[in-house]
Amino acid sequence: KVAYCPKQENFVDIDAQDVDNELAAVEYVEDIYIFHKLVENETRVNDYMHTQPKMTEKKRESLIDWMIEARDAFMNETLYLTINIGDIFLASKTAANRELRCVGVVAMFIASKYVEMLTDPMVYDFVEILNNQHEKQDVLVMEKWILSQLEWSLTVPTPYVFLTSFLKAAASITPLEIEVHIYF
Amino acid sequence: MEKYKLIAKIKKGVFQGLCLLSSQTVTLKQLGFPDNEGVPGSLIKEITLLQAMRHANIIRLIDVVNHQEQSSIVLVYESMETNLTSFIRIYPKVMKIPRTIKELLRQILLAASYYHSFNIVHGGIKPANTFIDPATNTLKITDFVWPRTLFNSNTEDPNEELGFCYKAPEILVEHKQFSTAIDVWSVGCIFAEMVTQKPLFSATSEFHQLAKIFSIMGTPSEETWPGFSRIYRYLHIYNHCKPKDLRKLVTGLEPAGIDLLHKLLYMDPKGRITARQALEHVYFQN
Repeated sequence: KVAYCPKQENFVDIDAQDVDNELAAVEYVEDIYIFHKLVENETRVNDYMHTQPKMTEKKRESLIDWMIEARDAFMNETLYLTINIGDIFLASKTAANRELRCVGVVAMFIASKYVEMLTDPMVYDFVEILNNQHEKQDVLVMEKWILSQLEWSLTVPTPYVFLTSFLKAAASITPLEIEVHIYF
Repeated sequence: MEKYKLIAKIKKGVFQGLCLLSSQTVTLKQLGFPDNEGVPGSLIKEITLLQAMRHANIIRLIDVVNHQEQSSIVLVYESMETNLTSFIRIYPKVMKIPRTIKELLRQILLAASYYHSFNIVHGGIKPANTFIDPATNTLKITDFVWPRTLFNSNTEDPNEELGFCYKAPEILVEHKQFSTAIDVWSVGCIFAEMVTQKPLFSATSEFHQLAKIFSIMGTPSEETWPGFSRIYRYLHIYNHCKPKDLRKLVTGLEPAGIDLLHKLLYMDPKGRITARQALEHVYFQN
């Protein structure tokens, strides 16, 4: 259980400005962050570099860079979730060298489906990113495999979740500025 | 799937099984989806939510397993045998005790207010989806309406009880913007049924359901439901009915219970009590 900290006198309610914004769900904002804080430790990924023979810190970095370049219509939240999904999966299963990109791209496919609201992304866009080295069927099989390794639970509090709140608390900056901070 | 052994088929796509690791009985539900784009995003979101929900009055999703078919998965739920329909049939005397009714209603409302705090509409609360453990009188709700509406739209079992008896008027007129209030209506219907041991609005078909509701709760007017004639163009074909006295229809219920029932079955969803408010009602005070 999370200890309840009483609001102090000089407490500035950073969510007060969003009271009239229905989408910001201010009524539940405290519940939501308490929940995220609770599951943060449960879902934290261990350092898996020594168990993943074909992976190094450097390689992980270039894989992430490659993914950012590969998909320009990338929402921030999707990017952070993609990295989390990939890390959680690779911490539990070893992948061959030629599979690593496929893992990354399928993580991106799943994260886009979870975050982006309007329409599901098309599987062919992702097969294309892989330069057709893997077939559509490979992507679909990998998708189910990754989802089952994650036990179909994607409510991982990514750094993005906390970052937006911290930035909001640091200074009442505009949403556009938040976007800029998160990218660079 | 090797973790589970199938024991019996309950209905199409639904099986009773045994977990070989914990020797716990479970309910397995197979869920298919179109294969071309992989797992639908809506399904990923829903299952993630179901995994996050933990409540004593909600049947827990234990596991999700991949089926050997690429476009199919299996949801594994904890298993309970007695639903409210059979509970009323087997233990009519227990159901006559006002305290039993109060305790069961409180548990349904707790489950509903938990769903609603996630902004989830259950959409199909009915006695067949409401399970009771006769040993402890613990009640648990199961079965969202979504798996059926989204993916297996034609698996409605003809022998299953008629779900439309518990549908709120705003869904029956296909008012698109329905909210968590539709669940509160269903809870109201179940409340009345626990007291009288028969459905309150028992029409012969979904088509007649609205007329049945109007005949008991009164045909909506501009005063009782502002804007209803705009939402529902066919209102004029219904006879004008005055509301009936619920005390005479739901006999044996204490006055505070009748008052709560009125608030749960308030026709205009905007004026209907919420599950959380209902739990604060005087009916539960003593």
